[in-house]
Parts: sequence; C-alpha cells; structure tokens
Amino acid sequence: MIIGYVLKYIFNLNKWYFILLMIFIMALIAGHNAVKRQKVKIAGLFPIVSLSIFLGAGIAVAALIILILRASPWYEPQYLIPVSGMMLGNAMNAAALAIDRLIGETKNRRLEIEAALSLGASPFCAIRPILSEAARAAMMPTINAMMVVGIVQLPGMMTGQIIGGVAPEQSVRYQIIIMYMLATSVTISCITILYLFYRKLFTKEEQLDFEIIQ
Amino acid sequence: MEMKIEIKNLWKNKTVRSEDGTDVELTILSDINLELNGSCIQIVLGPSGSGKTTLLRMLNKLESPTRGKIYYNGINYDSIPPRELRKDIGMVFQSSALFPGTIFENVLFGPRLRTRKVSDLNISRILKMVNLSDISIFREVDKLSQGQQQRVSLARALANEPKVLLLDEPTSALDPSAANKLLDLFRKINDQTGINIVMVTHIMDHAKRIGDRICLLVDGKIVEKNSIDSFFDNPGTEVAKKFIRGEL
Repeated sequence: MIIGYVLKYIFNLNKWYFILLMIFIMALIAGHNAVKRQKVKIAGLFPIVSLSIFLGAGIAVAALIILILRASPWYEPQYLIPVSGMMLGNAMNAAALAIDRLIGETKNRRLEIEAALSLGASPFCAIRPILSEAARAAMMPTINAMMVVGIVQLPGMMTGQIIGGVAPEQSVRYQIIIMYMLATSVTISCITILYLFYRKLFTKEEQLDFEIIQ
Repeated sequence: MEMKIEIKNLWKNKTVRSEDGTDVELTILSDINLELNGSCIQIVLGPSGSGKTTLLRMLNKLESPTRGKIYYNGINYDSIPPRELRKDIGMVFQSSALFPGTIFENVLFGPRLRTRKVSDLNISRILKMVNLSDISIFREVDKLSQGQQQRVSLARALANEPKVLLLDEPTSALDPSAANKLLDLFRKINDQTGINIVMVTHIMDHAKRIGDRICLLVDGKIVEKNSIDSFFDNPGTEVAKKFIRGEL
C-alpha cells in the first residue's frame, strides 16, 4: 500500500529529477538484493551490480520511451516508472544468476583457468569460456520466456491490457516490444557485470584469488 | 639452454578456515633456498602435504610468496610481467587440465596467444617428440586415455618453447607402465632440447629413474639437496634416511 502512495506522490510531482532519483534508488535496491543472494561476500560487488543493472535497464527503457512509445514529456512517470520496474527486475535476476554461475564455474574449472594462465594467457582469455557460460545461464530464463510468450504464458502486461479492453493484437505488439527490451536490458546488464566482475577473481599478479573462490 | 632460477629465503603462509569457522594461518613453506641451473632434471621429492606443489606454483607465478624472493636469470620475479614469465617457464599439472576441443586446439593454445604461427611441421615435430604422431590431431581430447591426455598437456606446454618446464606429479594418475613411458619421455626431451625440467614427486623410483639433482622437502623445509646418486646412496641427514626407508 505504501508504494502506491509513494508512486502517487511522484506522479503528482512530475519532475524528471525525482523520477530518475526514484529509478536510481530502485536500481540500488535491486543491486543490494542481487548481492545479498550470493553465497560468497565480495568487497566492491554492490556498486558493480547496481551500476550494471542501472545501465542495462536504463538503455532499454530509454530506447522504449524515446523511440517506440514516444512519450511526451519523455519522463512521463506513468510510462517511465512501471517500465523501469520491469526492466530492473529482470536485470536483477540475471545479474544474480550471472555472478552465481561465474563464481561456481570458476571453482569447478579452476584447473582449466590455471592451465591457460600457465601458458601465458591473460585473465580474460583464461576465463572467457566461463564468462560465456555464465552469460548463457543468466539469460536463459529471459530467452525461454521469449520463446513461449503468448503460447504458454500470457505475461502480466499483455493480460492487463486485454482485460482493460485493448485489442489483443495491439497488446501482443506491445508485449513483443517489451520482451525485446527485457532481453536488451538483461544482455547489457550481464555483459557489464561479467566484464567488470571477473577482474575481482584475479590478483594483480594475474593469479586466481583463492580468498574469493574457496 | 642457459637459465638460472634462484630461490632465496622463501616463505609461504596460507590462511585456512578451521572447523569452528576461525581463520588459521599455516606455514606451508619456510626459508626455502634453492638454485636451479644448468640443463638438468631437478627433482623436488617429499611426502604429501610437504609444500612441493606450492613451491612449483610459485615458480610459475600462480601464487606469490609471503616473504623472500625468486630470481629468474638474475631478475626479481616481482619485476617480470606474469605472462612473459609463464611463456618462459611452462607447467604441466597433476591432472592434464586440457581445454575442451581437439589435440590441435590444445597444442596451439599458447602460440595463438602471441599470434605466433606454428607450422604444421613444427606441430608434427612436437607431437612426434611426445609420441602422439600416430593419433589424428583433430581427435577430441576427452576421447584419449589418461596417458595420452598427459602427453597432449606436455605437447601444449612445449609448443610455447619454454626454457623451463615444471612438472607437478605428472604421472600420479597413470598406471606404472604409462608412468614409466612418460618419465622416459621427460628424459628424452631434456636430452634432445636442453629444456630444464623441475619435477615434483613423492615416488622415489620416479626420482631415481630420471632425476639428475634432488631436493627433499619435508614439512615445508628443504632437508637435503644433492645429486640423485649421492642422495640415495649416501643420504646426509637422518630425515632423508627415514624417507628413503619409507618411515616418513
């Protein structure tokens, strides 16, 4: 109930900086939640996760609002806040999965990584197959949802629109766009987080950091 | 192949978590002093848990010492970029640690990092050297026997043209016959190429079979350094005598 009143307040203020601040706070909460779910506590993870989630969701929302919905003004809270919520939520789940898989696979395939390092590979080159695997695992729920949307499941937004009286073909069009934007948000968040985070698994001497992976 | 590695007053501590959840600092290696030079096979012998692997990993810069210095041809390890050092000092692990893919992809991994082309002739020379020339280079490595996998691992390290080869109990997963073949292969590589070999093992027969020089590591300390023959014929310390008798 409280969030309803907060949203009403923000909607009435209708100031772009309040709306962006609210989205930023939502990204911080999403980042905190994604970090909290990790089994390993790693210093400096929270800002990386929050930034990645904010960046992925931000780019997708900007494209949706400016290029597709063409809302006027661009910060129209009625569009911006619910759409940002959807993007941030999915990016948060993907971020949590990406980190979890990256740490897990690094532990399991430690020898493979060290063999590559011992041959003179850079940390990025040594861990690249694991980054791909982590990205694949993190994006799988979104890709799976895209594959069956409208056939197996009718997402909330589409259902809401149909119940609200919008023509089904119109609501499907919106849903397709939303799904593409969710995939964009998840992809950007995953790539950013994996790229920024893998460095924390190595020391400056390009060794695996056993304090983290053990 | 001229090279010199000097290990001076080397210590390694590791923090491990005890059963009650508190962190405990253990000394893995203490005050190690060792000089590796000349084209020979240096054996690091010792019982399990004596710190042999840790010592080898530090020579490949996969771990850093807590105290002390290592010098490679007179240059402090700290000032050598890790990738440059690891190109010169290759390592073969206890398990083959191969990458998913073919023999060809594994062997070319190192040279491709430096965009250095390796001619087909050179690949076949390396594979012949490790007795793998009768197997297709496009065979998936997971289809090979353990002995063959370990030889691919050796070929992969040799393709980098290292000056030193570190071998971390490379025969531990092999049956005696395959282990002996691999040991003879190390001897052949040392004789033919002059690559310096440092091999860690806890098996005395393996040390005797191919070693030139030996150091005995017990509880993180070097208790004896000697030539292989002198070590086994006339051990200088009581600990070495006990180890040889199998009482350690």
